[in-house]
Amino acid sequence: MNRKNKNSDIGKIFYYYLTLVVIIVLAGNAEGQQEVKAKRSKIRIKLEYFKKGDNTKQIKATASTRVKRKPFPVKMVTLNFYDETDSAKLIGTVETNEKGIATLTLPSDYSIGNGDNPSLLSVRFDGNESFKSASKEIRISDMEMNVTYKIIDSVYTVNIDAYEKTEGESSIPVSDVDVYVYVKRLFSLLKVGEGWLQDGSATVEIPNDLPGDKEGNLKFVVMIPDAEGYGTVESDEVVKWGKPLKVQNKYADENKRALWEPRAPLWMVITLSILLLGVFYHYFLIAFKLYKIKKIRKNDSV
Amino acid sequence: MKKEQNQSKKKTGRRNFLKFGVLAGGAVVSGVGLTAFAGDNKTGEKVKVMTTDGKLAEVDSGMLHSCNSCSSSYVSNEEARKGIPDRKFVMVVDLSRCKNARKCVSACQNMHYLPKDKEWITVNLMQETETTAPYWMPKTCFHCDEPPCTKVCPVGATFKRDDGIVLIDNERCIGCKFCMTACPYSARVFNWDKPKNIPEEILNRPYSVESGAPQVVGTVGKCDFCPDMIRKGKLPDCVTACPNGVYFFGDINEDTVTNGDETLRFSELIKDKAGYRYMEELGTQPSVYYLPPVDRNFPFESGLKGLSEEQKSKYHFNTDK
Amino acid sequence: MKIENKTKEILKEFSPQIENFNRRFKILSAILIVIMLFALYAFYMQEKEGHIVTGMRDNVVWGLYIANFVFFIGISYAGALISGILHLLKVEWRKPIIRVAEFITVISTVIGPLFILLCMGRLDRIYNLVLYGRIQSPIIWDVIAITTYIIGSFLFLYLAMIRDLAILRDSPDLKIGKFRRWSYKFLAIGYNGTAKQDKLLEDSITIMSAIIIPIAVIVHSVLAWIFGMTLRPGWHSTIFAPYFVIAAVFSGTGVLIVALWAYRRYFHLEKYITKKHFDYLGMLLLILAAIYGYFTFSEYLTDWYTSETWNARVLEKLFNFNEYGWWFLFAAIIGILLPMIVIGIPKLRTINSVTAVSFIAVIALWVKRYLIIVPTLETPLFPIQDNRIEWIKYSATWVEWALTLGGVATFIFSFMLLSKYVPIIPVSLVSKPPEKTESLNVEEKVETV
Repeated sequence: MNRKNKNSDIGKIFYYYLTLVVIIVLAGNAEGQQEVKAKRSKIRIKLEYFKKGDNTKQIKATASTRVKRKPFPVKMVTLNFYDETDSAKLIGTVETNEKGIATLTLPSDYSIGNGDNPSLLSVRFDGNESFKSASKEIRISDMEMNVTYKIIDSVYTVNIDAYEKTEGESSIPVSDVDVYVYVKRLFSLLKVGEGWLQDGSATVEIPNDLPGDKEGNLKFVVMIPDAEGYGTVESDEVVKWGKPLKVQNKYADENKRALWEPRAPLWMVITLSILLLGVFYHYFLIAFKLYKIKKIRKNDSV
Repeated sequence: MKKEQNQSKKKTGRRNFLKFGVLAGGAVVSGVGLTAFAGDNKTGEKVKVMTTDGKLAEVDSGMLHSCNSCSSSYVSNEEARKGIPDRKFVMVVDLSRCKNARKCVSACQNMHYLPKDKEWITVNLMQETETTAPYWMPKTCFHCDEPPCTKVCPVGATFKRDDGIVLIDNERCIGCKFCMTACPYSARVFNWDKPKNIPEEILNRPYSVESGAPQVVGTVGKCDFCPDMIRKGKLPDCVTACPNGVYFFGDINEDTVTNGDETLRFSELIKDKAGYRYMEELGTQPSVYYLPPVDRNFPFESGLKGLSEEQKSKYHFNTDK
Repeated sequence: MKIENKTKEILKEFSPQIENFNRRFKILSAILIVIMLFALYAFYMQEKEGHIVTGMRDNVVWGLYIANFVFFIGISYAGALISGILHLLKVEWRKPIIRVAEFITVISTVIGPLFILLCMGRLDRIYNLVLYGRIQSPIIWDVIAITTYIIGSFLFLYLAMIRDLAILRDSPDLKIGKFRRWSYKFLAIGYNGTAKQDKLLEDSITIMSAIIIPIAVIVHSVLAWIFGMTLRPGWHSTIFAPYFVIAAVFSGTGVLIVALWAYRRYFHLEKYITKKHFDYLGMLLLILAAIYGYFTFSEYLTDWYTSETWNARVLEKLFNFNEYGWWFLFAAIIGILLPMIVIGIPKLRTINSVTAVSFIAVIALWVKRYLIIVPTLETPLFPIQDNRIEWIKYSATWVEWALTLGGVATFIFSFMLLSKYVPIIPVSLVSKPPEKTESLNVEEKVETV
C-alpha cells in the first residue's frame, strides 16, 4: 500500500514535470515572439509549503528574475494562490515584499489532503507591463508529527514520530528525512540537536546546559525541513529544560551605584557634601559678619 | 500599558509574533505611520499591533512591513533608558571572515541617515608592527559594561541600559565632547554641522533615543546596536548587510548569537575560536568580542580590491607610517 | 567716618586715576571693544553654523578653547594663592599689590569658564547641567568648584575693598558722578571703621584668605582631573593635579608681575610698587619655576623611560621638530629655565628683565596647555585612519583665534574698568602702619571714635 502510493506519487510528479517542460518550451517560443513587441522579463516563482506548530499552514512564494544571470527579487507584484485539488479555487492574493516573498497563511483548520489524494496548491502571476505571466504548483500531503520530551537516564531526549494519516485508522510513517531540534531564541532558532527519521520515528538528545528564561523554560521547535511531498513541518512546545536565567543584577539593580550609573558611589556624595558644606558655611559666616557690620552703622552712625 | 501588551501577546498568533516581533519588547507602532502606508499592499495576513495611544488594532501585515522600513517605532524615553528586559546583548566579530566589503558601513549610514563621511562603524586596517600580519578589523561601539564615556557624561545624556546597550539622548546632550575624549576606542563622532538630506518623514517623526535618527547638530552620535530593530525582533543592519557573515549578534543570557544564516552558542563559539575582547587591559568590559584572523576566508589583499581611491588613501595614511 | 590726613593725601594722589578718562584710555578701549565685537561676531557664526567653523574635528574635539580655559583659570591663582597666603603671613610688602592680584583672580575666573561654554556644542541646553547633573562627571566637579571659586574670589575682593569704598564714599572732593557715589555708599555697607566693624571685617578677610587657598587648589586639581580621568596617553597621569596647581601658581605669578609692571608704568606708581616687589615676586617665580620644572621633568622622564607604546606615540610628536618639537622646547625648557637664569643671577635681575621673563613664562605656559591638549587628542589609542587633514591634525580657525583674542581683550578691558572704579593701590592698607603694631592701632582708633 505504502510503496504503491509512493510510486503513484512519483508518477504524478513525472507527469507534472513533463507538463512543465512543455509549458516552458512553449513559453520560451512565445517569449521569442513577444520580445519584439515589448521586452517583458521572465519571472521565476519558487513555492514552498510550511506546516507550523500551531497547525496553521503557510504557502510561501518567492518571485525572482534574472538580471545579467544573477537572481534578483521581484517586489510589489500581485500573486494569486489557488487550491486546485478538486477545482481551481482562489484562496488568497498577496503582493510580494522587498525580498520578492509573498506568504499566504491558511487557518489551522484548513484541510490538506493526504494518502491517495494530496492537495494541489498553486500560485499564479498574471503578468504585467514588465513581467510575463508565470505559475508554479506543488502537491502536498498532510504530515502529522508527535513529539515527546523525556529525561532518560538524566539525558534530555526528544522523541519524534512523523506519519501521514490516511483514510480510516491507518497511517504511513515518514522515513529517510532529517529532523532538527531547535530552541527559539530572540532573533533566530538555535539548533541543539538533529536526527534521522526511520520508520517514522527518531530520537534526539539535547544538551542539558541550555540557558532558559527566568523559570527555565525553553521553547523547542522540531522541524522536518523540506520533505518531499510534505513541505516543511514544524512542532513546538515549551519545556522546562533550561537553566533558569539569573538576571545579572549588576545592571538591573536600580539601587546600583557606580560611576556609569545614574547614582554616584556613596563616598563621592559624602565627600562632595562635606566639601561644599565646609566652604559654604564660611561664605555664610562672612555674609553674616557683613550683615553685622551694616547693623552697627545704624546704632552708631556718624 | 504592560498589561495590554501581555494581552496582545496572547491574542496574537504565535507565528505573527515570531515573524514580526512587534510586540516583543512593548514596541508601539506609530499610528501616523500606519495610516500613511495603508495602501494596496495587503498580504491578507492580520497582525495585532499597539497604536501610540495604547489601543490594540488589527492591521494587515503588509502595511506593517512598509511601516517598519520607514518609520521608527516610538519608545518613551523612560522605557528606552531601561532597555529591553532580561536581555544582555553581545556581538562577536569574526576577523577571519572580513574582507573589507564595507557593506556594514553603508548599511549603517542608510539606517541612521548619516552622510558618507560619517561612519559609526569603521573597518580598520590593523597591523601592530611591520613583522605582524595585517588584517581587517570592523569596529562598532563596544557597549562596554563599565563605559568610560558614561562615567564622564555630566548630564546623563549617554547612559548604560540594563540590556547592555550604551545609548545617547541627542535631546539632552550638551555637546561638551568629554565622552569623546574618554572613549579609548574612538567610537564616537560629533555632529559638527546640521545633518543634511534627511527625509521629511524622519525629520517630522517624534524623537526617540532608540532610533538614532535624525542626528542633532552639536551633539554626539555613535553605533547604538540598533535597539529599534531589536525591539522588532530584527538583527541590527550591519549584521544582515554583511555578505560574509562577519557579525554575530545575540543575547548572552540566551548564550546565542546569530549572523542571520548561522545561529551558534556564544560560549562555544568563543571557546572554539579563542575569542577575545579588544584592549581588555583597559578594564572597560566591552560587549563586543573578536575572533582572531586565523584560517582566513579571504586573503588580506582582497580587502583593498574595489576600494575607491578616496578610501584607499585613508588606509595608506596609516600603512605608510 | 573721619579720614586721616595721610589717607587723604594718598587718595589725592590716586584721584586722577579714577576721575579722568584720558585719551589713551579711550583709544585703548576703542581698540579692545572692536576686538570684542569681532569675537562676538565669531561667536555668532559658530552658533549659527555649528562647530564646523572651528578647527575641531572628531579626533581633536577640544582645542584652543580648552587651552584658554585652563590658562585663564590658571592665572586666577595670582589673587587666590598669593594674596591669600601673603595676607595670612602678614607680609608687609603685599599691601600695594594685593588689589592687582585680586583683580586678576576675579576677572580670569569669569573669563575662563566662558571658554568652556564656547566649546559646548549645545550652549542652549546649558540648563541641563542643573537639571540632570551627575556628580560622577569631572565636568560637574568643575561646574561646582568654579562656581564656588567665583563666589569666593568675588567675596575676597569685595572684603578687601570695603575700607577703600568707605573712604571713597566719604571723600566729597572727588569729581565723580552721582551713580558712582551712590554705588560707593551702597557697597561700603555703612563701614565706619569702628573697632567692632574693623574686627568683623578683619576676621572675615582672614577666614576668606584661609579658605580661598584650598578652594583654589581644588579647582585646579579638578581641572587637571578632566584630563587625568581619561584613558589617554599624556593625560592619564597621577601627578596631573599637583602639576596643574603648580603651573597655575606659576602662571598667576607671572601675570601678576606683568600687570604690576604695566600699572607701575602707566599710573606712575613707582613710589608704591618698587624694585623690592619685583625682586620678591621674581624670587617666588624662580621657586615656582623650579618646582614646575621638576614636575615637568618627572612627568616626561617617566613616560619616556618606559616608552609604553601609547605614551611613546605622543612623545614622538612632542620631541619631533617637524611636529611640536620647537613648541615643546619653548614651553617645557626655555619657558622654565630662562626665568630661573635671569632672576637667579642678581646682575641680570632688573624690573624690566623680571617682567620680560615673566611674560615669556606666561606665554610658555599657554603653549604648554596647548601641548597637553592637542597632541594627545591627535594620538588616540585607536590609530586614526583618515585622509582628511583636519581630522588628523588640528589647526585653529579664525573663529577660535578671534574668540581667544576676544578673551584677552575682555581681560584687559575689565581690568581697565575695574581700576577706574577703585584705586589700584589699596589706599586704606598702605596708609596703615605696619601690622605688627596693629593692636595699638586699634586702641588708638577706639579712642578717636
